[in-house]
This record gives sequence, C-alpha cells and structure tokens, in this order.
Amino acid sequence: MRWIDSLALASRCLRRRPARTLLTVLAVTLGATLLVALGSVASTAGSRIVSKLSNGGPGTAIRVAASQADSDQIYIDDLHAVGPKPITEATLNSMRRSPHVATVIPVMAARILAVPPPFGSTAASTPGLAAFPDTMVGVDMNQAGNLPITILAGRLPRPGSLTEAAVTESYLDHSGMIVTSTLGTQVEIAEPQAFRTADSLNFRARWVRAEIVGVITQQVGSGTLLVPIEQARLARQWALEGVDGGDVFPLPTSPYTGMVVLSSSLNDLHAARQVVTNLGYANSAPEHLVASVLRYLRVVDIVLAGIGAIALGIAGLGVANALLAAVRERRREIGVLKAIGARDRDILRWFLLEALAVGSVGGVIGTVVGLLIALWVGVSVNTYLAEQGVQSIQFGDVSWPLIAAAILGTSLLSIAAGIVPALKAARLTPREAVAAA
Amino acid sequence: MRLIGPGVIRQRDLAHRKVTRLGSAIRLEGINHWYGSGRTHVQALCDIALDIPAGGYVALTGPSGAGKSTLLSLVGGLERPQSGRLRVGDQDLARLDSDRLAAYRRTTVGFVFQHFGLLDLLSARENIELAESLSAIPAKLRRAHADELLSEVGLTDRAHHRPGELSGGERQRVAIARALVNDPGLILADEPTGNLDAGSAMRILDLLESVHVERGCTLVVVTHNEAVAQRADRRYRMEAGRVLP
Repeated sequence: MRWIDSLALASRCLRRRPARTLLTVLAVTLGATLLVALGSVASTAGSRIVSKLSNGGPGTAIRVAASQADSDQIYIDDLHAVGPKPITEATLNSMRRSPHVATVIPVMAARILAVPPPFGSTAASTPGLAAFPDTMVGVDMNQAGNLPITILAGRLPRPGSLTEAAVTESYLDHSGMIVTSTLGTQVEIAEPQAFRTADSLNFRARWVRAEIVGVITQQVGSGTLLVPIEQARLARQWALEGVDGGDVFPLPTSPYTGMVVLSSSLNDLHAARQVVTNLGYANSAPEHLVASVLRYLRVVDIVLAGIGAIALGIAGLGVANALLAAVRERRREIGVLKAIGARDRDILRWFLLEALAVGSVGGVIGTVVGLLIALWVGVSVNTYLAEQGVQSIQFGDVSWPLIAAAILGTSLLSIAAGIVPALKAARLTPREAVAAA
Repeated sequence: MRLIGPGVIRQRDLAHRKVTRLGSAIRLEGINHWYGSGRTHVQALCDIALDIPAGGYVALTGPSGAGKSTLLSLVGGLERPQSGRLRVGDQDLARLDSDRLAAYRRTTVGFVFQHFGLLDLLSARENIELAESLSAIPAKLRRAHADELLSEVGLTDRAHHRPGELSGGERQRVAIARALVNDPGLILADEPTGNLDAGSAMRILDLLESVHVERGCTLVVVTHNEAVAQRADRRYRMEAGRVLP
C-alpha cells in the first residue's frame, strides 16, 4: 500500500468519527496553544526585561567612557574611572577587530548653553525659562536602534541633520514645558568658544537653532540634548578653534567622549567587556545584573515549558486513547485488510498517519490560536500600561523557531503517542481480527 | 467467459490479464492446531490429512466448533499451523514469514466472509480499490479494473453505494468482486451464504461457481448448509477437529 493510499484511508477513518476526531484535535490544539502562548509571552517579557535592564538598548551594550578604568572594573557593572583616557579612531578600530564585538558606536559630547523659547533678551528674565548650561550628546543616528535610547514622544533627529534635536525630560523641567507642547518648538543652542583679548579671557558662541522632534530618555551620555554626531563634531571643532578656557571651559582632549560597544551576543558580553577593560577604559554594562535576571528568567522558562509539556502530554494521551479506541473498534477491518494481503507495516502506517494528521492539524491550529492569544495579552497589557502612563511593550513578534517547534513537536508527539496503538493494531493476527467480527 | 449477472456466462478474453494459478494441489499432512494453554487449551485441529486438487470445488461441513473455519484460516494463511505440513502449490505456509504470508494472501487467495468483510466507510468501488491498492495495480488503472469487477458481479449501478446501502446478497457480491482483484488461484469462502435468504444464497453460489469454472481456481466453501455442500465436487465432514473418513 502506498503512502498516499494509507493517508486517504486514514483521512476517511478520521472523518467517520467526527466528534472523536474533533475532541482529539482540540486536545492537541489546547496543548499547542498553551505552549505557543506561554512561549511568546515569556520570550517577549524576557527580552523586555533585559532591554529595561539595559535602559532601552540591547542587553549586549557596553557603555565606555573616555576614562581610565580602575583595577576592579571587570568585576562590577558600574563605571569605575580613575582619570582621563582619550578615545581615538585607533581605539574604535581596535575594538572593532575583536570577535566578541558586533559593532562600536562612538559618542561625542559638547558643552553648550541651551535657550528654550521664547527667544530674546527677555527670556532670561522669565521665571522658569532661563537659559541653562548643559551638554549636547551626538551619536550616529543610523545606529540609534543599538543605543540605550527610549523615545517617549515624537522621533529621533534624522541622521546628519543640523537642525533637529531630541530632548530629555530634564529639558522639560528646565524649560517648564510639557511633552506635547515641546514637540515642534525650537531650542537655541550656544556652542561656546574661549578667546583671549589683550587683558582677559572671554567667551563667545556659535548659535544654532534646532527643532525639537522628540522627547526621549537616554543613557548614552550625560546631557539633555541628543543630536546627530555631525552637529556635535561642529561644536567640538568650534571649541578647539579657540583657546583653553581653564576650569570654566577646558578644551576637549579626547576626540570622542565615549563609545557604546555592542557584544555579539549576551554570551559574549563578558568577553567583550574584558577587551574594553584590557584596553584600559572604564565602562559599564548590566552584565552581572542581566546574568542574574537571565537565570531567573530561565527558571520561569523551565516552569512555563513544564506547563506546556504537561499540556502536550495530556494531548498525547488523548491521541493515544482515541487511537486505542479506534483499534478496538476496527479489529474486524484490520483483520479484513490483513486477510486481503495488507502487511503489518501497512496497518502500522495507517494508524501512525491518523496520529500525524490529528497532531499536525491540532498543532497548526494551536499555534495560530496561541499567537493570537499572545497578541491579545499584549494588547491587554499595553492598554493597562497606557492607562498607567507607562511606555507600551512591543508584542506580536513572530518567533519562527517557536512556531516550527510547536507544529513539529505536536506532530512528533502525536506520532509517538500513536506508536503503541499502531503496534497493537499491526500485531493483531488476521485470524484474531477476523474472528472479532 | 464474462458474468453479466449472477449465473449468466459468456465468452471473455483473459489473455491480457495476469492470472495467478495454483501450481499444485493443497496438501495438509498431520496438521495440529490449538488455541490457549493449560486449562484453556482447545484442540481445534487434530492430525488433519487432506488433499484438495488444483481447480477443485470442495465443501467443508460440520457442526460449530468442528474446526472448519480454523482449517480455512490455515489454508488461507491467516495463521500458521502449530505442527504438520501445509503446502499450497509449491509454498510451505508453515515456513513463510509474516511478509511472505501477506503476499501469499494478496496474490494467491481470495477470501469471502460470512460477514462480508467490507469497510462501511467506503463505497463498493472503493472497497475493491482498497484491495487493489495493496497490490501492484497502478492507481490510474484501479477505477477501470474495479468497474470491470463490479460489472462482472452485476453491480455496475451500485458502484457508489456504501455497504449499508446494499442488500446482503449485493454486499456478498461486492466481497466476491474484491476477492477477484488479483485473479486468485484459490477462493476460500467461510459461510458465504450464512447471512442470506435462500434466493440470495443460491445466486451467490451461482456466482462463486461461475468464477470457479471461468477462472479455473480452486474453491473451498465452509458451510453448515447441506444443500450448499451438495453442490461441491467433493465434500468433507469435520467433527471435533478431525476430518471424518
């Protein structure tokens, strides 16, 4: 008997008992649904927690300062600096050569004076709207997705733009503005330069006006303004064209004020951090915290996988029970088939294909339902978070390995559950089965 | 010869068909067979010696429990004898492994059961096609072959009907058509008329005999019915697991 004939026979037999088939498929569906829903929610929650620990950026990010690391740096997550150490192009290239490093993103900061609107001489006299000294942080906006930046409203400045900026909540505090009214307004940025006259040290500024396109939180560097690195580079160049302003405004000594190093994976985080530390740079990464949390998440994963496995086990028992009932019910048919020449393996294949059909159909339906439930959970959670004024969570990512594992797993499980009934059927002697009539 | 309806015969050309024929007679020597063990031990067959000639028409009669069906199941390869020699043609059935025994049933034997043995979920044609699917008959030829067999037993217009929609006689004719799928050299009929009224029973016997005559196959019929047994060329009576002299 060919496979296609066995499949056709199995299909007919399944349709003969629609209620039993439906219940068996439902059992498998429930198992697959639970597995996929729990897997999706756990996966999303896990990545969200790791992301949160990394302040919105990837968990593999290491923040490196233009500072000398102290001897304990590698053992602690926080920055332990003992003195300045310039970050140069050579430093960046050296980091990029490490096999544990995925990418290196330089950070350039410049000291500025920020002037919120309304602009003009009266602004300084308006309570709550005083110009304030701050730092402007410049990064490659093309790499913003790899940085610990969270957008609260609006968007990030376009890469290379010299007229756009994003601000942190600290800027809102200084300017007395709120998130919604800030977007679309402009900020005046004074980039200072020291110069010496005949008798004293003086300061002048290069004035830039930028549109505020987003409100963010960021852990890239200390500063209320986030701009494309090109803007920060112009400010640094302008400052270097002046003279050393002493303690008030010293000339920048490091080409870059910091960098963010992304390790290839969470498993590479420690090794990448060692590379950074061995080069002598102070750095910080939630390495130990993430490792500790990941251990707990792993425990949660195991518990959830256990629940899913129990559900699938019950589904498997359902398949086995349904097939055992089918074998009892079809003893005469099995006997007749054997009497007209069916081999043991033909009977075995017939029942295993029935099990496979039930398992794969239940697996596909269960996977789809599981994904929908995960999506529904995401929507419910986000609705709650929105009510609480907290940033929403990105749900609904389709995990193809999880989908493949669910469908393949339920199919294989059903086949495994069908082995005993199928063997029982295949081993029936034709005489015994015919006599059962 | 072609059967247009039960008992109606006309010339047919068998040249294009592969015909499996018995090479020699059925020979049983010292066959013993029992079921269970200890207190449940039941001697079903006791020292059976029997020769059935190739192309013969034999009836086995006797009371219930005499061992008729057991003997039929041994000859049909449904089980192996526990002692003695059983040869069908040049094949020693006691020595065949499971797969070869299945191949023997598939190619050499055609079974006709009292309970018809049709799968209720399949139509008459599909029941025949199922038997064809076990053989090497190509899928694209099955339908035509099944229709030919249904025509041979006079059930062309019942091809789409399921067993539940057929009368007892019609079901048995479908079962006979299915038994002929591989043009077997041996047809074993276990109480083929047991569930039929007298008229249907005679028509089924006519059909079986026509097949026997037309195809030259050996026909062994197990029956309680003396009238049925009377139609055979040779009759054997069994009692308590023995064939009476």
